[in-house]
Amino acid sequence: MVLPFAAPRTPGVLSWRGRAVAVLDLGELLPGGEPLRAGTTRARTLVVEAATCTLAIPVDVVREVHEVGPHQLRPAGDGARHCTEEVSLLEGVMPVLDLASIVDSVLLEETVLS
Amino acid sequence: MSVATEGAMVPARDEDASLDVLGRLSLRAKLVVMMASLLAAVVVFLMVYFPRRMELSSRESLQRRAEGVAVLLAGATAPGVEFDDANSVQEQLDNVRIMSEVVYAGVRSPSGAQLATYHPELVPADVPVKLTGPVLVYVGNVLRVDAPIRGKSGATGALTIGFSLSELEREVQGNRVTVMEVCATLFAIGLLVSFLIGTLLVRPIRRMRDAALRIAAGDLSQADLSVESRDEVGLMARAFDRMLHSLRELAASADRVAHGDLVGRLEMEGSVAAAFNRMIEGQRAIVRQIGETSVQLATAASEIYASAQAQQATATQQSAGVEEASQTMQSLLESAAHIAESARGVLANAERTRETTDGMSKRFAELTGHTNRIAELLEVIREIADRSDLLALNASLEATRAGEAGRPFSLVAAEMRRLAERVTASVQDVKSLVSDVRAFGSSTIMSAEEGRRLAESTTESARQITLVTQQQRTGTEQVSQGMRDITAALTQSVAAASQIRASTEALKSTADRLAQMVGRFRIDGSEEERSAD
Repeated sequence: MVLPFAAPRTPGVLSWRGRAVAVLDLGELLPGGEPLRAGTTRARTLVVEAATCTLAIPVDVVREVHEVGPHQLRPAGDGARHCTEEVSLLEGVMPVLDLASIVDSVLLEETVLS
Repeated sequence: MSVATEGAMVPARDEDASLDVLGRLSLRAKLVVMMASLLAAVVVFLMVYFPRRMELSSRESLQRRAEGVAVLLAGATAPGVEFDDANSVQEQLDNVRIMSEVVYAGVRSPSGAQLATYHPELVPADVPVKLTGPVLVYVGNVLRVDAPIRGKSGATGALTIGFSLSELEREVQGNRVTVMEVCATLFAIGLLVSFLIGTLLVRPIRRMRDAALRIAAGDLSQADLSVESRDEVGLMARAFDRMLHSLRELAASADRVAHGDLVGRLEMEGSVAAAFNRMIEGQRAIVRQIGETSVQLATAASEIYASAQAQQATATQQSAGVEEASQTMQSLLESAAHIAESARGVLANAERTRETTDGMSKRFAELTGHTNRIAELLEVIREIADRSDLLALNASLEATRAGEAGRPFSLVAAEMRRLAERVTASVQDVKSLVSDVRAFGSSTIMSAEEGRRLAESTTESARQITLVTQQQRTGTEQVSQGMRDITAALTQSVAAASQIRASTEALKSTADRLAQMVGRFRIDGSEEERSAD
């Protein structure tokens, strides 16, 4: 459901197993993404725990589920925002999204706004 | 108004009738009738008035004579009368015998006794004796005179004398006969004289009448009347002669005109001469005009002749053209029949096409139903694939969480996910194909609908073509009939043109003859009489 006066990156909450989970909209963050509109979602919803938060991330497609060790991570070449590292998989080199920094920036923005 | 008119008209009609009766009588008869009526009046006067007058005067003179005789006799007798002496009285009375008209006579004494009588059987007995003067009494056919007679003794007796009236009657009869003779003579002489005068008066009038009748019959060759008398009839006869001369002159001029000489002019006065001169002038003008007209007529006749020839040629050409047109019409009629046949075929084909399109539309509707069902099944398959993908994803999550032991399971899950994705992709392809089929089906249905409409309009057009062809066929037949009529008319026209040509030839020859005839008239004084060329 949509929350009034919510930040664009966390537009609302999602009911998951009796809990209200905050929705993180990656469309706002990624280049070429479309922001979610009220009352819509995407094909799949990833429910992840990162740091201390449980987040629901609506995505279009879930490609693969991989277990990646810390040694496989290496710093990203171009160093885009929230993507400081990348991982090399069978399909190719993939950027790794740093959810913690995203959550931090959201919290920071909320603090600034309040 | 009408009543008044009738009232006014009735006496006039009577007057007319009497005038009519008078008008039928000849002049001489009228004169005789007039004279006879005059004489009749005189005769009636003489016959009625004159004898009565004569009778009265005769009667008067008889009375006076009787009275005189009686007084004379009484006077003559008186001195000697002795009433005692009847003989002397008788002698006195006998003197009366010499008078033939005395019928009887008698003397009475004062006592009433008869002293003396003459024809005593006739003397009446009831004669009064006491008289103071003579008394006249008519008794039957006798005039009786009673006169007093004084005797010597102084006594008065009575003398009675009866005079016969037969003499008077004879006289009156004689007078009447005389008057009648005179009247008859007068009547006869008067009638004769009036007849003679009438004859004298009527004879020249009769001659004039005969002459006028001959003139009326057209005979002007008679001699003049030459009546010498100087009265009104003579004047009338001379005027008649002058009229005859004028008529002869007029006839001579008319004769000249009749022979074609229109040059002259009647040198006479009066409206007839003026009219005659105008007539001659009019004839001159007419002859001139007829001459010009005959020339024009001849020219026109030539032109008409040429035109008639041209018309005949044209009509012949037209006839050929109409024949061609008629043939064309026939072929048109056959074409119309072909078209009608073809239109019937087209109609049948269009009907079949419509039925086929209807069947096609129905089948395509069924196909659309099938594709809808396929789309539903595809949706089910897609949902199943999606659920399979999700399950495989969760399985791979669980396998990852299980660590090294879950790795083969993770591979199976990944394989399952790939299968699910392929199914999803295939479903997408099939969906697009089904969508294509559906679009194709709907466009086909639209096309079928269009085809159906086309077939219907084709049917309608074919019907209209049939109808129009029928109409055209009727029209063409009418035109063919018209063509036949035109051909007949053209044939008649050719015949008429040929007739016109013949008539025009006759007209031209007539116009030439007319020109020749007109050429015989002299209408110009300076011009010599033209020869009839």
